[in-house]
Amino acid sequence: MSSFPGQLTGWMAPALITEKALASEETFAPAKTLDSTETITALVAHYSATLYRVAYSVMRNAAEAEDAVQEAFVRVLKHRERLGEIHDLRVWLIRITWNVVLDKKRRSKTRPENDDIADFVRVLPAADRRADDSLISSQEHGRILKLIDRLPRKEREALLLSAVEELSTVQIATVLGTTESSIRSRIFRARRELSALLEKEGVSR
Amino acid sequence: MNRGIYHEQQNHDQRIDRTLRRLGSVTPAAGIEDRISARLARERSKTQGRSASRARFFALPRFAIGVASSLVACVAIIAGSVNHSHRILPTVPGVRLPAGSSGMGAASAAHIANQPVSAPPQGRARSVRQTASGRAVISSQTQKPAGVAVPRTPSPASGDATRP
Repeated sequence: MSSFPGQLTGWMAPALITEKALASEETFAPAKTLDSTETITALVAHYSATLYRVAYSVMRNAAEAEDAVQEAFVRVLKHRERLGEIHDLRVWLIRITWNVVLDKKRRSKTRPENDDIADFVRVLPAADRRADDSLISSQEHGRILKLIDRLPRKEREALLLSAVEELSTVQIATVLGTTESSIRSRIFRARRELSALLEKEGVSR
Repeated sequence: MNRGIYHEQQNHDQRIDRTLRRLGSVTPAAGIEDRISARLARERSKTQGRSASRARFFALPRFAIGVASSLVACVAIIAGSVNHSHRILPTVPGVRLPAGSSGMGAASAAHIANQPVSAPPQGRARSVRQTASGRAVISSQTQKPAGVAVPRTPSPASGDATRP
């Protein structure tokens, strides 16, 4: 029972992130006068970093994440006639990227794991590192990511998408095709299980 | 004891938060937009090239297919019209339909033979295999089922034995 406040903090964390993200979010709506090519160019300029983060959360490899983002935009190009009908372009793009990433991950199941922690450290700009972030070593980061991979699929996906700061729980729910409350409970369960795994690992070490 | 568990839990949460924050704040290598734009331009040119070659492939056969289909249509129209003419104008010699006939007749209408009918030999037209007595003639070489008794046909030379 004493661990409840910690869990509650963990549970509420995505919501807090969401509010912060929404407050700083720049809404992007392509001008009506733009043709599809110009719209796609504008989407690339505006969303490529967000999509890269979404892809990276699953692929954990810079080259493969970028390839997934390119693949997502190629799919957008193929369905460019639908651009006018899309209500929320960001969620639509994230959903496409998410599907691309899951396809790639499924295909690469036969290949050996390619989590590249050194690569991760390289792509992370030094200016963005906070004081507490510098404390965490690459090894520990890799260890926690491996534990995340051991979580059940639904919980893992919700947790990974919640890591992308630009995404609200509503948007995560839209991407994963479920309700907001379901996403909240999945994230809560994921954090609790991850905590238990960390505990177990700490004892065994 | 509880405080220890609480601190440990908090520690775990902090570690998870740090990892997630770090995972969610990665930035792509510089120039990602340019690379994506270049890839999209490549895809666009590939698509255009594919559609151009498809158009080239269909351009020449389209004319040939048009000519061939119009020829087939002409032949079908001519053949149909000739066939129709043959049907409404009977060409069988010797037939004379009654004047003013609409082409439809009742079953009781007079049937006109196509050609003159010759008189049957010996005044009978039923069967050439019958003798003068009216009995069927079965040759001795004819295959007969086993166990069936067939009366022997009297030879024409010996005369009609059935008559007194």
